[in-house]
Amino acid sequence: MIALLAVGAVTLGTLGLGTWGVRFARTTSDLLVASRAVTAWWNAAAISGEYLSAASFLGIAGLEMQIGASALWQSLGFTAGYLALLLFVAAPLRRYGSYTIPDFAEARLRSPAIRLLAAAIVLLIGGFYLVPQLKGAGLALNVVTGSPYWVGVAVVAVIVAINVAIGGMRGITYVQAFQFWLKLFAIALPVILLLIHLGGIPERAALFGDQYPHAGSRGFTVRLSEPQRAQFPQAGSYVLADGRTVRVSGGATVRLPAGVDIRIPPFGIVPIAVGTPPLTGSRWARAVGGTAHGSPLLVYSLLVATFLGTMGLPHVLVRFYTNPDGHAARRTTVRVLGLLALFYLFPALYGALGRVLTPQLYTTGQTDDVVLTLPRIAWGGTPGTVLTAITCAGAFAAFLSTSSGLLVSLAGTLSHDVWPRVRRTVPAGVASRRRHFRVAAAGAMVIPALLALVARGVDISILVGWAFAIAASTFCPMFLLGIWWTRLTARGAAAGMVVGMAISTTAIFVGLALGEPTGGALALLEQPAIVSVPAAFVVMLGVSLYDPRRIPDADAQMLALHAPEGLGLRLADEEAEGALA
Amino acid sequence: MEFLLGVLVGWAVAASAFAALRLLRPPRVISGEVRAMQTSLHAATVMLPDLRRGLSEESARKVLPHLRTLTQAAAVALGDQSHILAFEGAGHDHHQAGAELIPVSAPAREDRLHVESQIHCDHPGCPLGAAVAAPLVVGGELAGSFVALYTRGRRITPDDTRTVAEAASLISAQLELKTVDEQAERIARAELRALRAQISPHFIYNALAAIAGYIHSNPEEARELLTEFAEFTRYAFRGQRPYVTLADELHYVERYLRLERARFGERLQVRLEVAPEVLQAVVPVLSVQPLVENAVRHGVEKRGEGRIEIVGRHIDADVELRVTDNGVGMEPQRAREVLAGRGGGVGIVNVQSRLQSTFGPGYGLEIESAPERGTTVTMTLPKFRAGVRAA
Repeated sequence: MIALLAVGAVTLGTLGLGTWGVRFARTTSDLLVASRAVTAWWNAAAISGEYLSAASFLGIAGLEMQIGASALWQSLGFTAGYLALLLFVAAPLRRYGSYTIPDFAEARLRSPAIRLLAAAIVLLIGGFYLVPQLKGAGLALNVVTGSPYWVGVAVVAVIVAINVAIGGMRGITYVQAFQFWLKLFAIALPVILLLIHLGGIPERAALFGDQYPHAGSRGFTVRLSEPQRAQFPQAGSYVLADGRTVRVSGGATVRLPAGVDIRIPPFGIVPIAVGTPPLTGSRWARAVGGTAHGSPLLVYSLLVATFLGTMGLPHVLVRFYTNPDGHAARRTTVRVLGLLALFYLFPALYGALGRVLTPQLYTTGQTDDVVLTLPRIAWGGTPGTVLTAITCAGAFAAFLSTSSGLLVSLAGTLSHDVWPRVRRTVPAGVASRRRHFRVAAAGAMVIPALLALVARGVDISILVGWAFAIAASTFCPMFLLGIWWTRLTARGAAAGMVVGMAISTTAIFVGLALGEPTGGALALLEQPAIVSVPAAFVVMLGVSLYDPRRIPDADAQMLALHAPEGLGLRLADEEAEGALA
Repeated sequence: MEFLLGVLVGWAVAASAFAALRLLRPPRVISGEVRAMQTSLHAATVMLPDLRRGLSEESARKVLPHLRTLTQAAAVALGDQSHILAFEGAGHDHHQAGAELIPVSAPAREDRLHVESQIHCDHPGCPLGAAVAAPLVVGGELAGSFVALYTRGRRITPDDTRTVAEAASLISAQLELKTVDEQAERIARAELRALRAQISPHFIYNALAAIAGYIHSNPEEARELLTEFAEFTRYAFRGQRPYVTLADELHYVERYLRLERARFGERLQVRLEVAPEVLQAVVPVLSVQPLVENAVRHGVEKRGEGRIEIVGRHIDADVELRVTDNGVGMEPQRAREVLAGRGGGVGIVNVQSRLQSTFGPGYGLEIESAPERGTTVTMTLPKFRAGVRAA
């Protein structure tokens, strides 16, 4: 009940801040305002607030509990992506002045056609990124109210679509910055209090020894919503509601019934849902090679996807527009690195505590719930309930802000880039552009919501990994070569992006169809970046070199991208214009 | 997972079925004449955007294939006054861009079509025979020529010459449009120059008079105001930059308002409320200050006091800036006339024309006003437009 109230408060607060907060959020004063640009700290908090999604809030801890320490490469990659952004993209992009990714592609490559291609990729990435947000919402509402999974998906999809359509949370920097601090508070406070309450991490042997997860000193009771096949890694037993005890030998798989209480006795071996690898503490704690998920190939592929994919996330890049100049863009990015590093300390703690304190999630297979249920189970009574309410509220803040940002990007792309090309006219006047935007916002939510309904079985982190893989295989080469290489041509960029997109999406869909194969090179179907990114680069370089149609003013474009502000350097045509004036 | 796979396979099957149906549908039968007309109409329209950019090697290369379809000649060429810009069709192995136009065909004279029954070509095995060269006349001057070449032994019919002449006049008309575009741009630039020169003498007089009033009572303030004034004029007269960031332009507006405040004191109330997210948008230089100056002149000066609000918001990919006064206002009819350039000052019209020539239709100014209800001028612009960069 408290959790439901907290979630409601966060939702209303978010909507309210978006709608009425505009008044506080604008710089208001008598005179001398224009100089007061947003500071780097505010901007960094806003970028982090937009960025930290369900994957960061729920997914990393869930995956860590499931496959062990190798899941933490995700948080490393999610943060390090900003290092790539800082080194290669942030300042030049800000100097260039473009607002969206299609803006940049069209202006840099002098081709209106590539704008449409870039818009299509934005839709693909945004769609893939929205699915896990909605999945997280379905899970969270299920934990809070016990409602079916689809209810949470539908509720958040509708709330976000309405919110974006009526113009709430319209990318206001201060609102997004507030969201970051809310999320940090909501994930940090419960786990810190919990650690104080428990006096440190209990039963550390479960984390590092050769034990499989066991039921703890009190045992536990679970009730499944649907029958679940589960494996006992060692001999164990479970007690059914009618008092019947079922003994299972080590390594055997049983089918646990739905709708009845199943009790695991104290210190009993925990049955582990099929799909989750049973791991001893020492294997669980290995950063590389502990499981098929932690194979070096997959870890490198994931690092490539996240390190290079962050720069291609459409909802993040638009935030850099607010920086006054290239220097400020760099300072902002450095602060983002710090803020994210701070945030990602906490999901790791939830994952580790979850292995010890909430082993029932191994039985249900819903390890993505760990951030939400850990406080309630590990600390009985009111404190646990309150802390769970806080994490639920934080999770909702994560879904709302990230999905709103994504939906704004999707709707903007549909109404601003796709619609005028299809209809061959630019909608005249703000009012009609606004109307198109609203229709687009409602429409863009439909497909991700439907996909979220069927994607229940896929881990949030893996879903998000796909969005990063596609971004890394398309926009990353376009940005890196577009910013640092004069010879890139429009056809080269288009060919590279199409190849990168084709390889990554094909791999993902084949992997889905084969049911997430693990082991060996087939694992690349789950995270194809290590193949698709180099392929995109090679095609982009090769086609550009053989393309006779070079971009005529590439040198002037380089000047616009790289010359620091305040040098008074200008493009040649502007120079000519100035001479005439 | 099976469900997802099912959905995907379903989509793929439906899409393939749809595509197959479209491909299998028998093509509609149209008569040869209609088809010929459609082909030539298509060829003619496809050329237009390229020609609009002027006569260059690149544009010539792009339009020639279409010109060849249009004229049904064995080869076609476009040249400037003396050289071939591009060549397309039979004999392209030895007739190439950059060569003198003469071996292909004597350059067309200014006013008439030139028909040659056999071109002079030393290249053995040149398949070309007769040629028709038509002049391209732009603004009364010869800009180049269009040459259609036919295979050896083919006689030129009156239909051929007429087609070539028509094609040449189509090209000329498009090139003519390009010079019109250039002229419009030149006019916009001239207007900007005029606006720079036209800081209203009225304002200069008032500002200096107000500063003079402070010299004895508050010399410190007077000195500061004079510095502001110097900075103000420097911004306005600084040439060589058609675009600035909105932040720069608002700085300038602040200077302007401080000088006006020296004169009006507390009788001029100002509120600036600009979302920090829009400060980096790029606007034509001197596009906001004239709006504010208008608000001061018509909203404040006439009544001796007043209130001005400048509000900037971002709406998706657009920036909206409103300048509101609570002055005497005007009839909505008159507001429309002012914006259309009939009556009223040049300032607003000038800003409007520069905004629209920079960002295209759909952006620019709107005026809302009613007598005694004040006036609101709303400026909309995109957050980014390729090629528009602040200096």
